Amino acid sequence: MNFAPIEETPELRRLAEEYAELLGADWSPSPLELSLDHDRPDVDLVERFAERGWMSPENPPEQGGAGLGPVEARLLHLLHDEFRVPEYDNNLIVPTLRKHGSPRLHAEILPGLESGRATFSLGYSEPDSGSDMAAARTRAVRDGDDWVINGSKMFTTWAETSDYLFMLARTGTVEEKHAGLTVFLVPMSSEGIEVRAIHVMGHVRTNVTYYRNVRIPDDFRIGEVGAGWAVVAEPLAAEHGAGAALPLADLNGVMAATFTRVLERLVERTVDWAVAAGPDGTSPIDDPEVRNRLLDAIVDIEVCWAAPGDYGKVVAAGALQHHADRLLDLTAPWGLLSAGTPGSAVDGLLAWARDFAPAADVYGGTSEIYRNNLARRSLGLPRPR
Amino acid sequence: MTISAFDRVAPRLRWNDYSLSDEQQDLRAVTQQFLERHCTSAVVRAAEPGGFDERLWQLAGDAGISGIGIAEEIDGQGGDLPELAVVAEELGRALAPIPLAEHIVAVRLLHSTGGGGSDLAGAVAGGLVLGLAPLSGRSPWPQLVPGGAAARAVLGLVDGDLVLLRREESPPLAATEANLPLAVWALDADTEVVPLAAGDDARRLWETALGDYRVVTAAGLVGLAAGAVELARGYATERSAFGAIIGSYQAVSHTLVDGVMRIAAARNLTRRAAWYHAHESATRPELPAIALAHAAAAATRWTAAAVHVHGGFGLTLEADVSLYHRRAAARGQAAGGLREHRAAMAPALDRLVAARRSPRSEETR
Repeated sequence: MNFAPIEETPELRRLAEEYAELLGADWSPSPLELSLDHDRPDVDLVERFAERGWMSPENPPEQGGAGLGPVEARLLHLLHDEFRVPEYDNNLIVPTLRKHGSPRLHAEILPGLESGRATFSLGYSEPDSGSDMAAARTRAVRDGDDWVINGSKMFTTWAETSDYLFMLARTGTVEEKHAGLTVFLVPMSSEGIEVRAIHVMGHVRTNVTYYRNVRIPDDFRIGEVGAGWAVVAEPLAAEHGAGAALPLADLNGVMAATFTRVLERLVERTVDWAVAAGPDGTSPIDDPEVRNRLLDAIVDIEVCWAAPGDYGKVVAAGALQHHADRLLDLTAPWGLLSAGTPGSAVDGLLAWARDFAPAADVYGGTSEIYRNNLARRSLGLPRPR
Repeated sequence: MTISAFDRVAPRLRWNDYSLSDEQQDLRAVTQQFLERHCTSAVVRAAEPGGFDERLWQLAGDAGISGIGIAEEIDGQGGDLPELAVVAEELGRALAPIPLAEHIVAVRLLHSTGGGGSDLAGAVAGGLVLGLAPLSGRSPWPQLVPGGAAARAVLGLVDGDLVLLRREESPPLAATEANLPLAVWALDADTEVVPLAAGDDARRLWETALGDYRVVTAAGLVGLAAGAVELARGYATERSAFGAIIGSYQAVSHTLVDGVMRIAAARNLTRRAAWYHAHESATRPELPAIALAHAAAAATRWTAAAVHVHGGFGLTLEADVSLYHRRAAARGQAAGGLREHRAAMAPALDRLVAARRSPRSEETR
């Protein structure tokens, strides 16, 4: 047990100053900005970070990082959060590409992904399969030294700007299920790809992507043919778990920490609303009902931070949905009005959060998938029916 | 005036280590071994309805468990609140019919006042059972005292002064379905009142003891809830229905996963509260109350779920899980329920309100 402050050093202070200079004196994030974990920084900012190796600060310089220690990396993470700078890196797939990628991939593709200048989207889900990833039907067929891909992928968020798609495709029969899958890194510049926008609740854009006779060289295959399930297991574990070795990172995992921060900011903004005096001179904060709902949210925020990493997302997703509902109800009717509408309370953020929140329980795997995994792995229960 | 980038994030730049040290793990193992040997469910049942097993009390003293969290200068074993929380969790898991955690909190408080002329070493050795009246700063006497049916001395506030109440005999048991050694203590003719501290000193010492009490109570509830859910998990791996082990049905397995994982969160939160209260109580004075509020809710919810997993069998008094269910509420609420916990966690909201009211609230978040 240790939650002591990390000792301040001139080096840490300098790092923070360099960060602030890099953002520029005029950097002032909108108070409406809550920073979600699917947000990405703009190209100009990526370049400034990448020059310093700050997209993956802990990686060694020869792998596109800055070779920073975990304390420095934690400081950068907190600064991103403080200044509402979206965090993005490719560490979900880079170790897998390094391990299984062809020499050409290592030479031409890996450096861009390591530095963070190049980007990728995940290509697991399909129109007919989501959490049941192994039911993927997008087909890759060998043709000489190439593969020809036909099919479609669902919820390919950022496909409109990403350089690559990390695709799980079927190279065997559907009956083979897990054994008939292979992973490819598909350049999004390839002929035959169509990206069509899908808008989901909470003003989030994602996509459905179509692949019609998309031809890619065998060099872009990741791992053996038919080994796709084992290949995706590595990034999946990284996506689901906390995984940090040093006791510095948020215990509840990256996704849960993001949802928890969103909830913290919703509470802070609701307190802003609650302390403002109305025409009769009273403030909502004087009402015990208001105080109690805020205190309940404060308790659950502490619970979110304390939830174990492989379950943190389930707790945080539940808390975000529950308290977005409860706080919106508290501010009704004015909280229902969207930002910019005269009379709107909390800039419509609570109404927005309520619409966004169900996604927290679904993306990155539904909470039921997490529970199924934990039932077997942590509790030693039989395979679920 | 603008705050530097570093200073803006410095309050959050901390270690985040929930793990037990090697010594704390050893302490947990020793306590578990002691309780497995001396505190079976038969022992728990035999102690009903009084909820106090004098033999177990003596054995815990002989084994040195009663000295955890108590300074070595008064013959304690050393260690602080985090170590005491480790022991309290195991006592809760075993439903140990001894008010040991409350007693140790009271001994720590008495020691911090200089002892009030009472036999501190005797209390540490187990000869004198001490109690604490956690609500005595909030409501008038008489007080319902956890462990009060076994104690002959109780610490509490009377008119803002910290006092030690002493009696020749413990008051009679206050009966509950939980069979805990609760008793009502009054300022009556049989009760001697020894002043210990007054004014700000009294308030400060009392707040420290209350934080200790909330942390060890939360830890005990975490252990209790974990014990109940572990019974349910075991049952779900043995019992069959409709031709399959019931733990293979998602309705059962997902309930168990939620229980185990949410209790793990309650455990982590309690550890964080223990650390802050021991090292930086002024930074987060509300954490012990938050940990207790959550542990109390988790204990009632997940012991009920654990009974449900057992089906009709779980309702019977023969089923060990019913021992847990009957104690869950009382252990979390003996010093008041959510209403009290919310009052104690108010500083968290007050701090937020103050920060948002300050002129540069946008910058400080």
